[in-house]
Amino acid sequence: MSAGLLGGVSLLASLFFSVLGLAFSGLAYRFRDTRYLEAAKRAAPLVFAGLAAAFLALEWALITHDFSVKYVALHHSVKDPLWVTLVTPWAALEGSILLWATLQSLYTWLVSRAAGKQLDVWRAPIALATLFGIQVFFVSVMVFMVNPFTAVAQPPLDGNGPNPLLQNHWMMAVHPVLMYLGFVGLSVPFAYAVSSMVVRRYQSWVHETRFWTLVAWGFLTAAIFAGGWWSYEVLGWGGYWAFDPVENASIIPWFLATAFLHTVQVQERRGLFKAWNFSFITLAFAATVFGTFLTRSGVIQSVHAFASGPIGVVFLGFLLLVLIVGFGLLSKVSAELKDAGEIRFNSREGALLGGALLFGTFAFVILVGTLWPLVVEAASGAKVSVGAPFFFQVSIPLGVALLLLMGAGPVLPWRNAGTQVRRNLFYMGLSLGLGTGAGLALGLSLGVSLALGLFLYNLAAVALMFSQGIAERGTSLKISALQAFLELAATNKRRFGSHVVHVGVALAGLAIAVSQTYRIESEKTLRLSEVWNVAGLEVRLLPLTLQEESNRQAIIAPLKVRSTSRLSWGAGGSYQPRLNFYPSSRTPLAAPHVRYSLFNDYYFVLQEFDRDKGAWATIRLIVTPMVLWLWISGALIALGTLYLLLPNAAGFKKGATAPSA
Amino acid sequence: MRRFWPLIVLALGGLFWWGMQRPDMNALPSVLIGRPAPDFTLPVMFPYRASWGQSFQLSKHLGKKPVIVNIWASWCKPACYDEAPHLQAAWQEYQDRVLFIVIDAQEQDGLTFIRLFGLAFPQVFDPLGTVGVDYGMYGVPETLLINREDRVAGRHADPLDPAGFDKLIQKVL
Repeated sequence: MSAGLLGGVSLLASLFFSVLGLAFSGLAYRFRDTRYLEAAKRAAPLVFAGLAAAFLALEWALITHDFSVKYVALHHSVKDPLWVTLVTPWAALEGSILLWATLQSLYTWLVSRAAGKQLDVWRAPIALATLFGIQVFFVSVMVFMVNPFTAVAQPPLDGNGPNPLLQNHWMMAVHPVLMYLGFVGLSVPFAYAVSSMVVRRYQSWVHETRFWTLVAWGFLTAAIFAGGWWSYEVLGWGGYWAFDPVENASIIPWFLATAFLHTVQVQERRGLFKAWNFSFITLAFAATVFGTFLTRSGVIQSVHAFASGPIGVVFLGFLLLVLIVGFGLLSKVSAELKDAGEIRFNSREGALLGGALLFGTFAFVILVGTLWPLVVEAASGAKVSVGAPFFFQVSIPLGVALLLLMGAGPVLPWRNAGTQVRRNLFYMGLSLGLGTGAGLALGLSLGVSLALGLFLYNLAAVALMFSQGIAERGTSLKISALQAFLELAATNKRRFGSHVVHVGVALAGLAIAVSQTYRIESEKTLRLSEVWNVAGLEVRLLPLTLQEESNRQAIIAPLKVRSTSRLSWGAGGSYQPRLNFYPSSRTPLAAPHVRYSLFNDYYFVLQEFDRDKGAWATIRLIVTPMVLWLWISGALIALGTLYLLLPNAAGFKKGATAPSA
Repeated sequence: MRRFWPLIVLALGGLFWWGMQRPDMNALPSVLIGRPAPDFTLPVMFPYRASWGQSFQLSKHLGKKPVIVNIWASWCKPACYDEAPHLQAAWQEYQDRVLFIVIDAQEQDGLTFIRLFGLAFPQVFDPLGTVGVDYGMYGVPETLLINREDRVAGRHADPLDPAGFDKLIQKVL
């Protein structure tokens, strides 16, 4: 059996079992019969098996250079290194939908295992029907519109390989998969929310989906950082975020999911904000579909866009369906969701709602900025673009407000603030003032000084909470401070994990402020052996070399760099910025050579070179402070999320016995 | 909000629908429209030399019938590969009334492409890409239309389907 045939048959089988799963879920709901539910549950692993087989078939076709499969002929070359071949399934539209559907079926299968147990028999049919419905959509799109296994009548002997940008850095093996894991993961809390609204049980789903939301949120966060890192290392402009429409489309669900993660705590604890939670999760999941629609419809131009085609229309339909289902159900039950409790502004729940509203506002303004060119063109026919300056202008006040609330929120107790809290807030305010003042005294810009103050303010918040918790436990149990700390960390992982995440976010805020403000950029055309004195460095160009690699040729401009100032200590040594020439691209791709340090990054890019004699090269140097700390903050957030998830395995089981409201 | 959400969803849907229906999302205004077509002389690809000579000079063919200039590249997948059969079909339909001339960057790659699709209209190659510069090309494939008055009458920066070719050519017939 050929890979193409196996893939095609596997896709058809998974479509069949998805429809079957959807039908059995519907019957289970209609007739309140658990036998149908059992049948639906059995369909879930079969769909996953079918899609996993199809995915492996595509990998097989790529590895064996089976150019009779159109996808392989268009996006693969025999010259591709093995790692490029293995990541080619998500290099283009058809394969990326297959990856999406495979991950979706994996989540559906995992959720189906909880059906009838933690997910009660009333809600399980609807939750499974929602997930099977999403699956039917994706598999149908593949079977009827963009089949990855379409055959070629006359297979070529070799193809062109994937987009060179995808071959230029190993991060491309990671970033899209993380993004899809995050996007697809949000379908689970959405399915639970839909089932809760249909069955009118509004409380227990928030406990049960916390694990899933955190998993999806963690993957989405990791994906956004990985995408930033890829952009920094590959695109050769020395930046990590450009507010490109599709970057925006990935951050909008992240903001909405973050808002949801915060308001959901209030519902868990006090049963409030039910309508907010249903709205946020519907919007977060719809935003993932919106991101997919943007990349595949060509409605807005972007560097991330896949080829546009008829698929845009079906994704638009799917997006509208998600919004109609979510908000249709919400408006039907909204009368039953009125909050019965009081919310004080200076309480934890007040801060959580405030934070969620800020995240929601952030998502909204980014959405407006992204769609503005389309709105203007529809209204007046003029073509405008909304660039990074707009997004920076709106991001700064919102970011500052979020960092302020992030520090204060966890310090505030539930319901009411007491004397100790006021003292804590005073110390935090003092840290903010001292940090900002110190920054200004050192001659830093106002923005960076404020970022420094906010970072110290958040550190102070976490330190105060740690120290008070340790002191209380140490005194009451008569144990050492270290033991008290270890016990607290082990027993209250949720709290400690969120502190780590918050420190990571505060550090990211500082790193972004510093790296955006103090960036030095310089460019010079150097002749061989010519010396360039720049940014405390002495840069000398050595003879250019040509390197042949299986899938590309590279021109390397070796640089001998000597540090001539105390500030650039550690930047000396040799650098090898290069231009990679891929057969499928007329323009070469720059591969910068970056040296990371705790202070400055030294980023050398080969811009152009003498193609006749190799006698000169144009070199660009970008020195950016604190970028390494941005990646460290990403790692901290990921670790904090992992830590948060640890007790959740136990909490997840506990949730099974929790009474539903 | 309870009453307004359907309106918001409807407005968003309408906006996106309109966004996708725009006739040519990649349309870029060309200053050349209505101006005389820049001339070029390029070497003719080997299979067409018997009928067209060693080189092709645009100005020698202007004024008799409208000209379609299609610029493509053999590395441009899948767009140029999708367009090639439609280009061949358009040539078969309009060859008596319109002159088709197709430009590629490299002769060797171009020949492989021609063998694959059996393209029958004259092809020339432009290794330095000067035509692209003269015509302010956006990307490949790109199709330019020159009318009988030697002026640029239309430009399309995307693969054309049969309807697209018809619509473009009908402008000058």
